[in-house]
Amino acid sequence: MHDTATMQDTTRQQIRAFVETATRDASMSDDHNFFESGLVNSLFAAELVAFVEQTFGITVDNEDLDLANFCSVDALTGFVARKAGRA
Amino acid sequence: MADSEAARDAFRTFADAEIRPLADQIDRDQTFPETLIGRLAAQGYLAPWLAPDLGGRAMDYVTYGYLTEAVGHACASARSLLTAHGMTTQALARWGSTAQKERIVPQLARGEKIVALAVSEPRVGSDVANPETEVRSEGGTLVLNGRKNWITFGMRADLFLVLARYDGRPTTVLVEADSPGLTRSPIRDLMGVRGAMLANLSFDGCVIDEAQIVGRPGFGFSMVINEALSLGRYSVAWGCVGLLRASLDAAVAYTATRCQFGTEIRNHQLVAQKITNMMTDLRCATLLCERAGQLRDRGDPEAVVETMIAKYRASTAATRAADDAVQLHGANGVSPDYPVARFARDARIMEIIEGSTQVLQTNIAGYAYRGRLAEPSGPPSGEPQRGDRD
Repeated sequence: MHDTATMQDTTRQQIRAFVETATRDASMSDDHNFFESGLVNSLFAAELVAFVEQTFGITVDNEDLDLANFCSVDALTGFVARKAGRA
Repeated sequence: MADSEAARDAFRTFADAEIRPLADQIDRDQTFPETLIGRLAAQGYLAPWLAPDLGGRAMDYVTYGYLTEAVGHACASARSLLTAHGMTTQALARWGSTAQKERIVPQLARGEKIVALAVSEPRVGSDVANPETEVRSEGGTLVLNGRKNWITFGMRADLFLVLARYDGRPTTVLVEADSPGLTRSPIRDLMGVRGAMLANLSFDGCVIDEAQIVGRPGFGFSMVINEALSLGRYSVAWGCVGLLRASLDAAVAYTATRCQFGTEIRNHQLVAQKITNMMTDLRCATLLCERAGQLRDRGDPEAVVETMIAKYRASTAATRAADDAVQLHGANGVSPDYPVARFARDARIMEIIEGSTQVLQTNIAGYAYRGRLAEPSGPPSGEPQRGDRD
């Protein structure tokens, strides 16, 4: 349990660092929807997919294409955990 | 690396023997020979990066870049086939349904069918995320209506991957060229890449099936089309390197033999300056493309911006090099007896397709501000764009 929580924290930090760099916004909360707020463009969406695939060794499939999986740091952290079988 | 370089030599040998001799005729006739499509397909060059089970050769992207460069050096229209067919095949291979991948992608890899990307519209050029073409449900049937312009190999394609709006969301659909309601008309006498058989498409009550939708509705642009454009931009960048090398080759050959003022013109310093600029631009563009390819091979998100940088630098350098090659040829440069006029016409197209120079400048500048959180604001990063031709 402890290992899983630690892993999720690390995942969250990595995602947050990537998103902060792209959005130039270090103050956003982890549940902030960066697509709705217009902080990013659709090029970022493609980069985000490449990022999670390369960083976490998962494959984003057609059925994963749902903004609910990608719209915030919280959403991405949960998505990566589910794909990696940790949640 | 040694394998890639050996492959590069083989690509150049093939392109010099099989493609380059046809380039002037393709340009004059404004049509692309079926026999050449067959030869490219027989070599496995149409989608070689795909896995073998999808009909590919599992070629890495750097090596694929060398292939595109060799073909681009020989004939811009042949490079255009690799780009348009290849990038659309890649979008299907990445985001198509299992049935689409298993049934259609291998046919495309083998060249049994040619596919084209239908994105630009009469009123939608660089702002590709907002198509007016629309899929509507009419009495339980899905119907496609709209217009698409500047579709590369549109007159030859057997299939089209079409970006449309469906319930207001960007969505891609795969449409057979012989579908009732789809008509196409040729675009001729373009400035360059004249063998790319461009077409305008008209969809008037074209009935489609749910199974023709590619990817999930709403992700047609951000994922499916972006997947295609990403590879397309990479392919065009390498094609520009090929054009640059063709211009340099022609300029070197001409200036080494043409005599004025009692000596070969290569001995005049202003000529040497142009050759030097071409040579250094070629090295620079090649290295940028190789870096973009290495990042693509690693699945690195940095590949997005590095490909933009490579395409921007290679396409602007190709225009300069072709223009200089014409200048160095004097009156011969604008005659049909030398290929450099064709290079200049073809190079000009490269600054418009797969992200115009200005759109790339906007996006690249946006990236320059990334990670610099202390700065209050930067230039608009803009949307990914592609220019006015597919």
